[in-house]
Amino acid sequence: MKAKYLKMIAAGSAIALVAFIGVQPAKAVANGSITLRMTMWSSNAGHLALFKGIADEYKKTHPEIADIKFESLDFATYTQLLTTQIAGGKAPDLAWILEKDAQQFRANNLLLNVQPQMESTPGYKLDEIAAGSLGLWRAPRSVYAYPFSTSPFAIFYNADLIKASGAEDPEALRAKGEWTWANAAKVAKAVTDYQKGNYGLNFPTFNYTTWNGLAAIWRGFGAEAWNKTGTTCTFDSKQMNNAMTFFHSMIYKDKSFPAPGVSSDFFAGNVGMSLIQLSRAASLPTMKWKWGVVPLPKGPVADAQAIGQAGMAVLTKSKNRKAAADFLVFATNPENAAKYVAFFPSSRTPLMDPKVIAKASILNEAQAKLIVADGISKGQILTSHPKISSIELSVKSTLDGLWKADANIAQTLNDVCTKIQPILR
Amino acid sequence: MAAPVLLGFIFLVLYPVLSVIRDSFTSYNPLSGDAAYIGADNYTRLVQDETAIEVAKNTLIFACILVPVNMALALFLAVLLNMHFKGRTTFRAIFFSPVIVSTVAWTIVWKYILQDDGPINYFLGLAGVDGPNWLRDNPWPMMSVVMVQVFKNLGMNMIFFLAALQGVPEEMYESSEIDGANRWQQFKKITLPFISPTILLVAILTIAGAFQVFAQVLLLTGGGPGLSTTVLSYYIFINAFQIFDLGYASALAVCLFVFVMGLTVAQWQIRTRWVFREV
Amino acid sequence: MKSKTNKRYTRRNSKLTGWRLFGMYLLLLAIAVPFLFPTWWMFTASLKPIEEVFAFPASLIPNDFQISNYAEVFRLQPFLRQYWNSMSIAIVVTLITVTTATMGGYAFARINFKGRSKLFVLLLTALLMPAEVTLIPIFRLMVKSGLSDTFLPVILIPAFGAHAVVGLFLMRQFFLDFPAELEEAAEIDGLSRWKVFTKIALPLAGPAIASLAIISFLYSWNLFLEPLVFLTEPNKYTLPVVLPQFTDTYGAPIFNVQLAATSLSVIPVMIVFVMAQRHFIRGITMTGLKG
Repeated sequence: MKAKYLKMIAAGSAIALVAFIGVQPAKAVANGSITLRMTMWSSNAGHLALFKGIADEYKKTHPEIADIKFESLDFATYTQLLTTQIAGGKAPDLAWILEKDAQQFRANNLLLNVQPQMESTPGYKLDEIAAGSLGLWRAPRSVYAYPFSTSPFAIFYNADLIKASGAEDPEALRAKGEWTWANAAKVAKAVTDYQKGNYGLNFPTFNYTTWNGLAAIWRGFGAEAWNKTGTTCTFDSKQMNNAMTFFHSMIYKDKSFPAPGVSSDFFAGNVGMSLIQLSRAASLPTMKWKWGVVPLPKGPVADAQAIGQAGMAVLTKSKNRKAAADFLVFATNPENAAKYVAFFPSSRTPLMDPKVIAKASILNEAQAKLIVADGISKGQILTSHPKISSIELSVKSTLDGLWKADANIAQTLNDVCTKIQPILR
Repeated sequence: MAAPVLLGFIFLVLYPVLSVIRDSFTSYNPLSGDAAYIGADNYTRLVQDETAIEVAKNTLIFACILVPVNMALALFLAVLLNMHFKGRTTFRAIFFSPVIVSTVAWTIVWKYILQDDGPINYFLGLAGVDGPNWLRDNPWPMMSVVMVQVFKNLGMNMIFFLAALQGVPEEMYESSEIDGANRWQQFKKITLPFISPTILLVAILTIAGAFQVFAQVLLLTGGGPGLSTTVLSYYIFINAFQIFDLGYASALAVCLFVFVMGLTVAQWQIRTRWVFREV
Repeated sequence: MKSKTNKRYTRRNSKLTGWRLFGMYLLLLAIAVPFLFPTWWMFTASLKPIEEVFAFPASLIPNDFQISNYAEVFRLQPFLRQYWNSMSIAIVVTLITVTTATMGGYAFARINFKGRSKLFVLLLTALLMPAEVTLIPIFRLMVKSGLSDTFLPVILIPAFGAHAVVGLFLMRQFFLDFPAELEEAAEIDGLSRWKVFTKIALPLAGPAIASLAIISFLYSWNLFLEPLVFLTEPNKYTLPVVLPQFTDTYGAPIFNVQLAATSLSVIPVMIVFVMAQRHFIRGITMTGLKG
């Protein structure tokens, strides 16, 4: 019995071993053909068609490329899905990277320096890319990503609904130089009071979790999450307190901003204003109501604009780094970059021309100048930090203390700093 | 013949448990590839980590509510459905049906139902009740996670109890009826002792399950608001796969392991006091 | 043929009539609401246009049927492929678990070998092992052997890990009650141990195996944490991984499409259950933890 038993174990191990070795995944490289894979957080049909088109064109001149795959991952958990792929040893060759993760990815050495390829490619015109847009991705003699979308936050609004509620039109307020957060709150309040079920303002990407987007509000009040070097928490500043007190009263006093757990859809027509980016607004022209767009309101301290950014990068753990970098350079050269303008505000200076933007997007020339050109020159990109993944969870759970009617704002903001200061160090 | 299971056990249970203990004395970040032996640092950090302490508390609260509610309701339904009336198989099927729905699907649907402007509050509103914001206003988020889990898995325990109840010989009731015992006395004196081994096993399984709750937390509340629904299993996941601090996550996992094993051994030790027959 | 413990009793003298029966129905119906309503709401909301999902007042039946939500599911994700992944993984897991657990359960119930009871207690610890404890080392092991992002981890973990031990436990319980005389007679006839197992024990274990198969299938079908960690490409996702990912470009869930996908994942299993529920529940009752 015993010997038989041992034999069985031996046989079992042998089977297990064969199974382990037998399923080593086959390498994609065969006969000089390479398959590239790029992860992205959009599943928008237009975005996919755009990249597919560029990839098809590239394949014509590069027979070694068998295929270029675009993999849409869920935006809300994008970074986690991407890093799990990397940690699992199955890193994609190229990836979209969010501005907030830029420093952490660089600190962990995950992004490949593509400056050599960019410089050695004739007609790439690296110096055409605005220095401000490249900031997060640049080190001396190094470029770690091409910022294909440098997209200012703006206030899109439902002109019909605002008019019906008797409030003043945001564009008219802006023209008078009175487009401030205080006046925006008044417009929002009027829309809310006008009819039950209406909201004055919403902010879909914030959703009480992605707090770094709140920079769109707090910067006007002169606040920041931490100092420039990322070593000192500034959530407990007077300015932050002012900003959050203002925002809190919109939610709980005016009730003009949807409270947590309440759904609201600007495009359904019962929300007055929406704090969104241009790339999200593509369906506006199909709406039955008249819409408008203005930059972020002025705050009591600053006329600050906030910009979200997305970079396209080659990962150091890619198995086809050279091929991936070559494709990146092709996909972001001046001709192809021009194709993005319909969806993503470019960081190449000739493409920031309002005339070019007006031609490609839903904005007219005046709007394009105000929102995109001025926005990018005046604005700052959202906050990033080398330890963002630990920080953002701590901040999120602590900031939850704010989202109730009787919140102690000063105390909560102090708590945020107590929590994250040890991480920032 | 037991070899495959034993082999699987060695590779997928024994080896991982031993390595998680070893890993808990290291720091390892799979993104950058940095790894180092750091002694008991993870454990010193753990005792000082206020979050971890709150998380441990939440885990206990969750288990302490879930286990009694789940078992009491399951036993109650099993007793009802062990009676003789038309339609009892249909009701058994109804209470069992969430078991076959995946936890993720079940949770997604409940997340919508529990929204502040969702159907529950709508119907409460019709009845003149201003329902709370279930997933935001304490203590409702924790209650919601518990109840979603209870409805999901109750059916399985109900069936286990039903099987046990059907094993109670009818003669025992008959003789006690002659002695003039009422229903409640019968239940206490005959039914409960007879099915006590099943109660013990169901308790052990339900408690072990309570410490593994993950999808419900991730999808319903994301551990919030604040940390109010962050339980140990979820906190391990976050540390391991969002922050990629595998060493610290391993130390937390060791704690969870000690927790579950300790509770099981304790239950096993006190079983002689209340379990009527040997299992 | 059946041993004594397999005899089933229902409370015959507790037949309900009249008002008490009516009260019972009322009570059970009230309790049934949270078990039934979610499925109803999921299905109806999956047919509504997005504005109607949370519209005020809420509608129990869609005012405006929008079947295109279902088409959208297949446009946003390789859903058919993901469906197939879930299904095929669950079938493989079921086959392996049934085979190994039946053999193991029989061995632990029927074959005397040294250290059997100690080994059994050791195995039982796996029954209580939270997946989160073993996940990290298994993740590192799989990464090292190049097996992450293949189906192997999500097959091996349930089929050989803690869940297999649960199966072994159930089958052992079944074989413990198995009449020994039958086997003894067969052994006298000169049948080998293996023959006794395949010719005598297995054919009689049908109902137990069926319920183990059901439990194993559901276990794999519902698995979330492991596929979430190991399967990172949309083409390899299983249903529980993809369902939360029906979101728009900015991460907000597209309610109606997400619920359409959820309905697609739930309804076929639900139909099979409704058709077979009697056998389903009876099978589990029979092998369930016996009193």
